[in-house]
Amino acid sequence: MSTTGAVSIRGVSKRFGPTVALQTLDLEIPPGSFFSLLGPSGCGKTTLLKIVAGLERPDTGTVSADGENITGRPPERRPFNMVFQSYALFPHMTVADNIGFGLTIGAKRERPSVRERRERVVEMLRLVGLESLSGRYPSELSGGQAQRVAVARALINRPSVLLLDEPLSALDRNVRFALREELLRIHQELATTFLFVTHDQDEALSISQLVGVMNDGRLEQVADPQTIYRAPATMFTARFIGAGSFFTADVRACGDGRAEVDVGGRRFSASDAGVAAGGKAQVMLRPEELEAVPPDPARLAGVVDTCSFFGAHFEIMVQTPLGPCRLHVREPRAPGDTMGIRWPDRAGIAYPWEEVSPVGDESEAE
Amino acid sequence: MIGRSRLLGAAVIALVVFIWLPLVVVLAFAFNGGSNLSWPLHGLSLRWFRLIFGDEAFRSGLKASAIAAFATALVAGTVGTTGAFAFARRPSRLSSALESGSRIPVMLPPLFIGIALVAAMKTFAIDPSMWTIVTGHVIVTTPFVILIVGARLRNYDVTVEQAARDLGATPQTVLRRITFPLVAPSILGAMVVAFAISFDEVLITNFTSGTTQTLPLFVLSRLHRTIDPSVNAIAAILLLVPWLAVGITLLWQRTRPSRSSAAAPAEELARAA
Repeated sequence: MSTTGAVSIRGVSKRFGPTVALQTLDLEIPPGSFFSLLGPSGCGKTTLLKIVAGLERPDTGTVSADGENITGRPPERRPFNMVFQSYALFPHMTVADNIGFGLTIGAKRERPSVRERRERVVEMLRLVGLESLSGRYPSELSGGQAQRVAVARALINRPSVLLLDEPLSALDRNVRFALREELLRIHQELATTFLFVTHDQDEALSISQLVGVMNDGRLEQVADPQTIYRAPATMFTARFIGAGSFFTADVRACGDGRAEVDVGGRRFSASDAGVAAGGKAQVMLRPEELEAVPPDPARLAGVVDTCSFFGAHFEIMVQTPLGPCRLHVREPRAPGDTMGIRWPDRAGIAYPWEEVSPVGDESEAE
Repeated sequence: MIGRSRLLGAAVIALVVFIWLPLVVVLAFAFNGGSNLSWPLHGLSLRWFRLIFGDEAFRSGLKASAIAAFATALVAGTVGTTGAFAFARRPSRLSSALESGSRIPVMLPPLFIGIALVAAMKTFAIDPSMWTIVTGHVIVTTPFVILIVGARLRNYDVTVEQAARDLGATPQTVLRRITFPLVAPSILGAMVVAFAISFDEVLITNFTSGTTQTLPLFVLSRLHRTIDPSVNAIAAILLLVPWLAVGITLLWQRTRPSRSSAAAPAEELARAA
């Protein structure tokens, strides 16, 4: 872990006219970490990134870099550089000139020599694997190549934090996967802090060390990817991450971080995410916790609605008396089949009951 | 279907002939060896070009037109570009009102502008000169510059400027190294349009020129007396000078590296010209 590249956000809020983009929030980004801000569009993640970059000013609060308050500094005087979603390459410059641009700025005597500039551009070209394309113009590059140039251009000034604004969302799936690994490798090589904004949960969970889930201008949860997936702290995170099934339950008892819940007459022990004994709860069960079994009057039963193929498994939606239920199975099932559903005695997470809106399904549709 | 597309083809051909025939006739007679304006031509020759270039009045008219057109292109290019930046980059109710206002000269009859300029010159006791000619031309050409440069400024990705700022460039550096190089082809194109409009402007010039005779005015005065084939040679020059300017600009833009972003202004220019 490096010692520079810590970002500290305290009491930051931002409004655009009547719209609240960010409610007052605090966030500590550890030095050298790969930190993702994850949330649906309009949740404020890009606004927060722009405030860190200096492209937007917060209405309240401070932004500090390694302990130094930089809230009032313009972007060019911050030790950060940004990779834009649209790449934002300079169309009238070659790849090499794009990458070297950051070294040609500022007072003449402070600029690196022509020779040093050339060496550092070559070093960057090598880092992103584009040595052979240095003379091309941006209009002659593929999307993946353009994004690599954008990353190299942003890294040449050796920023303490690299800001990435949905850098992969405009790319084809295969290129996106390849660049994801590339970013991870570059991060490991440089130990620069990466602050990565995305609406893609797979992307965030697969490459980050820490994920901040955002919703409605607030931070819902900041944790490592495993915790975000296995123990989402709020209903929103639970619905946004992964694809669980939600059942209404009565809480019989709780204590020791567990809640005894009753779902349609079936009692089991779920993790407690803030429910009260005697109250109602929403219990989330992950598809991998649920098991398809032959129909059995003692168990929850349902009718298969849809069956989709995912390579390693099939995902089936089952209509049950308690609501729709999502399962992963090895063999395909025909729509209309009746089947039983089983889960362990200790499974699921119980959240305080609230009206359900179909958030989880929309997040993919962006 | 086939019958209809044939009809359409015939209509297009008729239209093209209708538009191009006068051009072809003028150009053909400009190189006519004989002195009658009748078909067929009496061999090819440059005698009419020799004749008009030997005429002192023609040469001074060409010179006056060239000076006026260059000055108009420079002034309208500068004023129009400044205006386009202000309108595109400082959006407000006032700026959009001003922008609509800046288009008014295009909608006014040139005759009206001419009369208005004469009235203004009388009121402020300004004598007609090259200055007043250029003023009239700048009034009618600036809206085109604002339109062309403004269109380019509005359809380009401003995040490249944010990216440059992010890499450490000050606003001045961004303007000099990013914005200006990207917009320059459009500015140049707009200036060529201004040049072409100014070069053969005759209505307003008639009111503001005084004793200065521009090329179009020279042609008019000549037609009053007789129609001789030298007029065709002058028409050919009036046609070819702006075409050459546009052609050279298009070629220059084609050879620039950033093809995708330069193509748009080049097409705009071709349309406007």
